[in-house]
Amino acid sequence: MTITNGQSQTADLFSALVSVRDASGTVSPRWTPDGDTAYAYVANGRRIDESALESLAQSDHLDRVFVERISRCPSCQSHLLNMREVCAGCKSPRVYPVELLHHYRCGYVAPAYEFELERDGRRCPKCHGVLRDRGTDHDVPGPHFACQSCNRSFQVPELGAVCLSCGSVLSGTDLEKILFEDVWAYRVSLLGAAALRAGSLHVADNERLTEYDLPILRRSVFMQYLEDERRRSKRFHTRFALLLLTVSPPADDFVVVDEAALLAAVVEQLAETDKIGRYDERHYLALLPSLDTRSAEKLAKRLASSTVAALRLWNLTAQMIDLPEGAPLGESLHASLLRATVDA
Amino acid sequence: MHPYSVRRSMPELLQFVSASLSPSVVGEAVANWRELLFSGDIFAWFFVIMVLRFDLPAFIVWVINLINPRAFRVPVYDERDLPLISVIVAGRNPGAGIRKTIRSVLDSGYPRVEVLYADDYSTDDSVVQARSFEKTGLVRVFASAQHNGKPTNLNIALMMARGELSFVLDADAEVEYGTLHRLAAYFGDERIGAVAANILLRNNSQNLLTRLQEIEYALNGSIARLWRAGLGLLPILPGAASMFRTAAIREIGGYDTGLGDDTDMTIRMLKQGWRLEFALEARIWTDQPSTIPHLIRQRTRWARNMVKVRLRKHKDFINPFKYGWKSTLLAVDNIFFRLLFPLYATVAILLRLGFYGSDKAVILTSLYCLIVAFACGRILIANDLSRTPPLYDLFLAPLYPLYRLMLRTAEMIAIVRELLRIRTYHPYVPKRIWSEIPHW
Repeated sequence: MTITNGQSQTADLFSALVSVRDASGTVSPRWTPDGDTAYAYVANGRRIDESALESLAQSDHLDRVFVERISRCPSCQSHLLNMREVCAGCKSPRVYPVELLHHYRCGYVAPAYEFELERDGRRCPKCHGVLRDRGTDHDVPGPHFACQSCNRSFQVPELGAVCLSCGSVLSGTDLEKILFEDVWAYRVSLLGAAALRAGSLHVADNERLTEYDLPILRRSVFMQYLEDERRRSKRFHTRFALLLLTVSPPADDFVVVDEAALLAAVVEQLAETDKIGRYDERHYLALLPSLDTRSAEKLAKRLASSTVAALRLWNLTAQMIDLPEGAPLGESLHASLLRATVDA
Repeated sequence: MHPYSVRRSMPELLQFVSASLSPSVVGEAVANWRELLFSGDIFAWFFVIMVLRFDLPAFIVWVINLINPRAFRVPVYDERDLPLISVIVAGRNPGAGIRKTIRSVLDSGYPRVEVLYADDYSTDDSVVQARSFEKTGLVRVFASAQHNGKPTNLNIALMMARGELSFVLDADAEVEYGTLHRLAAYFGDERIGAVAANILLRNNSQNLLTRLQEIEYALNGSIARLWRAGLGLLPILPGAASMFRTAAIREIGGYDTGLGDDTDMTIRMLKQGWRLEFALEARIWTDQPSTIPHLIRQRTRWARNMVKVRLRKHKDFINPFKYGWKSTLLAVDNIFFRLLFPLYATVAILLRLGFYGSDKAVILTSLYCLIVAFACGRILIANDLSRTPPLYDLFLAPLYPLYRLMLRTAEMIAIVRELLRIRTYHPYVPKRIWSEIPHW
């Protein structure tokens, strides 16, 4: 076992961050079917440890981008899981699609091969009429499969899996035991870019909460605040408002007012108890505890008008968003933001 | 005792009854009836025909059952020899009702069963409801990509069936425990091609109309089918619940498209030489129309199908040299009692009223009372044989003739319209199929 102290660990993480930057700012998984994990992160010929990337993502220096979901065998954790359609009855994978034909005239329904193919069309074995044009005198009633093991036919085959590593066969409710693993690409975040410019990770105690040089909370920190507020609201029936701030950069390249000044102007408008954090590159979220909807809407208008009036050159819109209850925060926030973006 | 009092002491009453049943009184009554019949009184003939055709067979069946209670019951299979039964259900928008249907089949106690539900392009959640049973491995669902009509969907399910026997069941029906055993028992006889189940009303207590239908199903369904099947003259295998030998039904290509799938299938099975049976103890519960317009629509459809299928498509069924004397008897019975007898009865009653104009009220009242009395008798017989209708339905017997008169009138109108080919299209058949099928 190798024991590393905190400093060397930070240096390793910074080194991983540099590797990601050198790989055009994004490192994607490379598929390695023969390996145990099924994928690896490689930048400029050098393998990057996934745990380092994950640590950087947790400290907001890297952004995760979803790439793929890998299924693993519940017995041996191998990714060599062969998923295929199986018969609903005998679970055999020997299922084949069978084209059915329905003859309007006599109502006969059978696999297409029963209708003998002749020069002018297919011949119905029941009424001996000719099936000429699909849709006018016959049609396909729907998709259909047949099992060659048990002779059962059905419309929707079941899903089954066999592990090519340990030989476990899974079907029915066993499929729920399959392990799923999300595979991500990692991209240098704004904080990561700032860290690269500064030459070290922002992991000092005074840097853990806010973004480097910006008066806003880190994404992960803000999300934690938001989750806490949501729980508090549910538990004590208190209210809170959430504002989405969308920022567009100025069209004029010579503008000297930077994003930090804009955000400082926004923060000035907020109360001390309010919190503002980053959602992504151009979206910020403002959490306004104990504020009712009407007041929040007023604040949104004021923010959009006065801040823009002060700075004139940036485009900033502010709108209220609702978080649906019940769903996990990440999902409900994503759905709300999508809706808000569409509304905007 | 007051001279006009109807109260009699017990000895007097016994004396009166014995006098009424004395050979001289009975002999006198028989002589009177003989005189009436030989004089060509069509009203008397109407009455005699009605009793002979509808009441006497029910009475004979009842007597046979009294003497030998096992006469109409078939011993069930040994559990080891049970054949696989494919229960075939076709439906369009049955909704949550399909769950009850499937569950009743799975809970029917029959161990070797599979359910095939062919959905006719439902617009509700019927497919989802039915698919929720697929995990059991005993249910398979086929959702048609477009509206095809019931016969096509039955054919789809039939094509998927693996059972030696196929039980065609309505999507709004429930199977009573043990029914599949009782139906399957008949197929021990290789000559039997299909067996009709005994259909009872699930919504019998919904309103007066459904209670009257309950009486009708017991009298004209259960009891009539019982004696007719005994004579090999079963007129119909109800589409709501009948079991077939799968090979037999496949041999004739399944159901034909168009109307009257059950009547058509019955005659085609008979033409193939199969024997058809009726299982009194195999009980199926279905919902029937609870409003008069709905009921009239249903009976109109049946009546038009009768003309289309029996009188046109299968008109050769009357030929005794082709299909035997039973087919002729069936066809003649159908033509006579569905078409001619109602006309004959109307004429007979009108003539009677014309000849004895001053006694109109007496004639009609006595006729009505006689019919009600016979209906009561048949209700008692049906109750004794099949446990339906319940005895409290006897109170509805006075209404029963009026209910039948209403339906007969509607049926006659439908028959005449179909004979004249007035508005023959039926929305149950999709137009693209209607334009392709032969119109009998």
